[in-house]
Amino acid sequence: MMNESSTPIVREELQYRELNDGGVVYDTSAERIHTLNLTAAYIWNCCDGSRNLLQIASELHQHANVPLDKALDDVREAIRYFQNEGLLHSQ
Amino acid sequence: MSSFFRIHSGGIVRNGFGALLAGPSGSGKSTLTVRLVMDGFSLLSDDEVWIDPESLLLHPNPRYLLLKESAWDLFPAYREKFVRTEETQRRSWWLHSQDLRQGCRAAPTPLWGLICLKPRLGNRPSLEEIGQTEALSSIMKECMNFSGDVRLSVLVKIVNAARLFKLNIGDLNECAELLSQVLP
Repeated sequence: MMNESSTPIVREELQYRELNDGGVVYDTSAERIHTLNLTAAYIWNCCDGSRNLLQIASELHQHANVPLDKALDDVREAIRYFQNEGLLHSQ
Repeated sequence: MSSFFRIHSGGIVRNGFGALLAGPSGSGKSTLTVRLVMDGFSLLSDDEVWIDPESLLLHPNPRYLLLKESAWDLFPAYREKFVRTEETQRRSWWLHSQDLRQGCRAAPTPLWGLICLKPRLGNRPSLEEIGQTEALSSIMKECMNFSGDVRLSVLVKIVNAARLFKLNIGDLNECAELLSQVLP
């Protein structure tokens, strides 16, 4: 389970495309598509292993002008979804 | 033909603008396509449209139209033109486009819109614009060839180029009227 100091990394074999209202992740091996809203798409782009959850939340807080605790809730929720759907490297 | 992107979709044209009516089997693609062609739209296909993945030009599919059970009651004027299929589980018919309307086949046409057909919600059909993520996730499973990154790239091009709608189906005449109002 991820905690706030974890540094999530998305699986590199997944196909991702940015759209004007979010993004889509295509898992070719599972033949599944995941749609992301703008917030989740922003968080997705931060999951490159260089930032932990707190740092991602801090960036989201500044980028989207949302309170930090709300940003952290959004990050936790998005990461939980990515993890449950097998979109992240296991750590 | 192998280079075309094939999508499980009806396709109609008016005034040089092409629209896809995309949805799974049983969503009403063929019925709605026939109804719109009766109203003067030109026909690309009732079930599978071929798309140039570079230009997104929509190409007509020469296959006969395949109509299911309900067509018998919905289109009585064409009953004598129906050719029964060999399907045994339920009645269905082939219909040649020339029997639907002489010269109704469209020429290759630029993409204008994508209509995602959705199940009936209430008594009345509804048509509303949708976002790119919803449109893309709706048509992802309607692709009939290509895979992986190429499939996704073409679909992204489509949702970037097209006006995007979802139609919750309902009464056929009302659906046709809604689309007729919004299509150019």
